[in-house]
Amino acid sequence: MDRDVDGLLRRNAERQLAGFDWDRQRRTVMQHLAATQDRKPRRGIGIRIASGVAAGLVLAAGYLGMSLLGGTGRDAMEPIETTTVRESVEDDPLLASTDPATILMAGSMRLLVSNDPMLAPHSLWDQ
Amino acid sequence: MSDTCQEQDETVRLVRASQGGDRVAFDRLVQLHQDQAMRVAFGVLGNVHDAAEVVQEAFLKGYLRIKSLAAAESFRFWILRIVVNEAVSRHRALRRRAAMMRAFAAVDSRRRSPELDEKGNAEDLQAAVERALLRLTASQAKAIALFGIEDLPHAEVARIMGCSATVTRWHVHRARQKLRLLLREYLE
Repeated sequence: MDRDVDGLLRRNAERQLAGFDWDRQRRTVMQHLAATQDRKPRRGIGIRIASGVAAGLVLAAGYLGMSLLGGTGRDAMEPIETTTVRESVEDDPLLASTDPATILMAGSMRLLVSNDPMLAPHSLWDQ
Repeated sequence: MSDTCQEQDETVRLVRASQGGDRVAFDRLVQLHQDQAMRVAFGVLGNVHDAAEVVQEAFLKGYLRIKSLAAAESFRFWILRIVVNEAVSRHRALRRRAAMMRAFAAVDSRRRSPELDEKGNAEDLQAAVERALLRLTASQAKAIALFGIEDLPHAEVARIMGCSATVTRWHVHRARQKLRLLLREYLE
């Protein structure tokens, strides 16, 4: 009883596969295989070329962006004369406070911006 | 030495050669194993065209992954597992499509004449089997193809399906129940 369905399926499979072209099937597999293997190295080269082009584009875009924003050459826009000086925190009256909120606001040091040319050598970057 | 042992030795030798990139050796492996692969794929899908495509895809994947096969003597199980997995993917897609077609047909049948309905019932065994297999779940289709059609022992079916023998027995039982109902007019 259990095997009646199996028998029916098997008979149908035998009938359907009776005229099957096994040689053609095998040749198709080998053709696909050859095509896949031939495509493989080309794909590798393609990826390398694409990566190179992408890197070039990124560099070009970066250079262009920098030129537009600040310039990279000698004739670029003159920098604004701004000097920065560090001021000792000991002189800050804010530190006299014991209120935590005030202390947090004060920080450990403050940056002051000045246009005074006398202060130029003492720029933050020189210290 | 028996034919089976000779074939097993040849398979081991061919697998090792294929692992070294020998395409001619793999061609011979395809020749040796394609008929079983084809029967299994047909058993899951129920039509020659889809089964042939599945087998081609499976052998292609097999060649590309053959270096990962540690035990050359288990090539038959290994390639059958790839075939079954490919067939199951295809079965799922076809099953979804068949369900959609049934839904459309149900709407359409309300508008059809009785003569057309009679014509629709006069179909051959092949079409009925194909449609019935798509009513099974993927696991049931796998189990009936490997055990019912290919007549592999439960332990081998379990090894290919990656589950226990008890589970494969259950899938075979459920598949037979459904198929007996769906193909009853061809079983009498």
